[in-house]
Amino acid sequence: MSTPDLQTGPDVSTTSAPSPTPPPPAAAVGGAKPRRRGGKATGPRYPAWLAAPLLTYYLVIFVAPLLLLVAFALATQADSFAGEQYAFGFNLSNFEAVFDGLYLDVFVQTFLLAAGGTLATVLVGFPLAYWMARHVSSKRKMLVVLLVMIPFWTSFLIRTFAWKLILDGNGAFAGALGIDILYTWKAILIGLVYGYLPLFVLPVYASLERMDWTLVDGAKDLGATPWRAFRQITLPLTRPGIMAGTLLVFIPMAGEYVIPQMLGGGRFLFIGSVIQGQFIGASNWPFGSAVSIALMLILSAFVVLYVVSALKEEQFGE
Amino acid sequence: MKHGNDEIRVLAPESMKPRMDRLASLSRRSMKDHGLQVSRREALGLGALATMVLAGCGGGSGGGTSTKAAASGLAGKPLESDLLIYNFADYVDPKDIKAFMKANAGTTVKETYYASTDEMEAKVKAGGGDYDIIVPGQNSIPALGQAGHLRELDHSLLPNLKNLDPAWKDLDYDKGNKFSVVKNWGYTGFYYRNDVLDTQPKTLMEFFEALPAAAAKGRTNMLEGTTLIIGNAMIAMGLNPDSEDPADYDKAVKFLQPLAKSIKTLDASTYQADSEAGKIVLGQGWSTDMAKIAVANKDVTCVAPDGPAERWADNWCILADAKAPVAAHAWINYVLDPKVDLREIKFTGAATPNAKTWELPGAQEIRDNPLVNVPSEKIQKYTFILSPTPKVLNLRQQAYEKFRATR
Repeated sequence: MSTPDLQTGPDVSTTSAPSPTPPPPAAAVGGAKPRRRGGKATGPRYPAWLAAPLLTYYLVIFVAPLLLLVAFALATQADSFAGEQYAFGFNLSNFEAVFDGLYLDVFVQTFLLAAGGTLATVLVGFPLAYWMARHVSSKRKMLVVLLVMIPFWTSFLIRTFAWKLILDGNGAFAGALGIDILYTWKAILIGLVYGYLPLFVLPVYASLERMDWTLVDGAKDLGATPWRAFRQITLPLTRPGIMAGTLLVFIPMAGEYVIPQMLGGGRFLFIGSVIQGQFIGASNWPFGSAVSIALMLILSAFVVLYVVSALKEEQFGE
Repeated sequence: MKHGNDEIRVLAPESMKPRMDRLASLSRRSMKDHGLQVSRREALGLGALATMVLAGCGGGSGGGTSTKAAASGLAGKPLESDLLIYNFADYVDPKDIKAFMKANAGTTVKETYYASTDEMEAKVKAGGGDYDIIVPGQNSIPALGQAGHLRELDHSLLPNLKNLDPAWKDLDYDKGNKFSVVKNWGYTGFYYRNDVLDTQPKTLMEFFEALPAAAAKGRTNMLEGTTLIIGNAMIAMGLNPDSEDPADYDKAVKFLQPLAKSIKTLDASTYQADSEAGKIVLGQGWSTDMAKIAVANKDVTCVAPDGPAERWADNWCILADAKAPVAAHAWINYVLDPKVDLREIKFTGAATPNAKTWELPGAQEIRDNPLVNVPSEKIQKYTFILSPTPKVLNLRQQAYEKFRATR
């Protein structure tokens, strides 16, 4: 079972980001393991049963629903509304249907959008986090962090709807500026960046905050250009934070349903809408489950590739 | 009837009260003779039951359904204390709920809401929720009925069923009104900005044909949902919207794909406000909403299409696992009362299947609005979309996804 591990990846690296030498996420995965690498435990050793609450939590909240999803994905839908709606078994046809041309297209569209959204979030979020960490006086830092988080206190739906009013070409704001991008992919992209920005900014800010900035000063003293110092010192040292941030943003964006619906006017089909439609519109739980699992597997593959390549780079950097 | 703790609430025609009371006292006396102590309440229940069974139930007003009544076992039973209605928001006048509770002291009626039929269906199928009454559209009834989620209606408890227009009884999706009674009906039409569009589309096909020119001038909208896009396109094309032939769905997709760019948004939740504000130059709309749009914005022309279109009916249904089936029947019978129904249609603005309501003096305004109460020669050409099998749902969903994936 590799999926749960991968899902916890970002959380783990978020919490470990501040430590100067973060353990690779793969080793930190699964709080169940009482020992660290090769048994070289440095701290006090705790009995294994202390992990029981966490394990129970994962079994109930994550593993059980996942198994249920797998069972549904392998089930066959009945031909009639009368009687049992599903025959459980080992039917792979739902998965075959996922790799039908239509859904592959939708997957590609979805990942392109999520990648675009993540990139835009990095471009907006990294400078913001950098500014927060470097240029805000330590007295005001708390205030700025608070300002980043405050939008989270309002319903996501309401905030997205607010963008509908802001971007409406007939509305007061966009109308006055002559902007008419509501119901286009641009509006979706703005909504994505806005909605997920704090999830990226906070881990990156945390890693920039804890960084030893004397290293950068040293590099500059030794003749490095600011860009080179940034590339060779700041970037590698904040990589865990950036990785956590991008994963925290990319994964939910790939399953995003509300933003494309509201700001894209429902005219863009992403995989989140397909899943919703299969479960609710067509009542086809087996196929909806198969699409969900396919999405999870593809995302997991992305994450593994990403983590592995990022770790490799880190080693070269060292 | 004396009010006390032995009070009993029974759903039965008023005229039967003396008979029940007499039977109650008779049975009480005879039980006493046999040395059995029974309360007035128990006796009254027995009396009512006996009246129902002996007098051919419904006291002659329900008529001809005595066997069914005996089968449901509800006749003569008191109303339960809590009735939970699961409905669209603003689809019942809260004043009528209050009036019902006043008339049936001891029964509390509560309403919870869903935003879409899909949401309601998903909840009902998953079980739980403790709902007694739901208000599904016609295309949910085959699925819910076949799956055993709906309770067979006891017509003897619905004497006001006689008020319904025969045209809205015994419909294809529920022969003999086994599970449902039409609450309100309407159709899916369209509207356009008469000061923006150069054409005046009158049929559903003309609506589709007008989309490219309209999209060049502003926002066009279709209602989000498989039946509204795929089903309506198939109706416009003269195909059966409940076809089980994949080729029919391919035809619909082929027809819609070139139009995909001309349908700028798919929205069913906020389109009414947007069209009232004149933001939509051509769009699809439900009759109840269009009646309001037509009043709000004189630049918008609303159309009940000539020729084929989709018609729909929302229905009162009782869930199979309802905890308050007697009160649920009582409620449905109550809203079938023309006077109550008149208040209801004034509140919702939707057309009623109740022939007696239309006859009331206060009903004129809605009755004579051709956007709401479409002339019968028109409505006869309108089709119900029924979704009778999972296959139809799957084919329609897939066609919808193909359309939506088109750029």
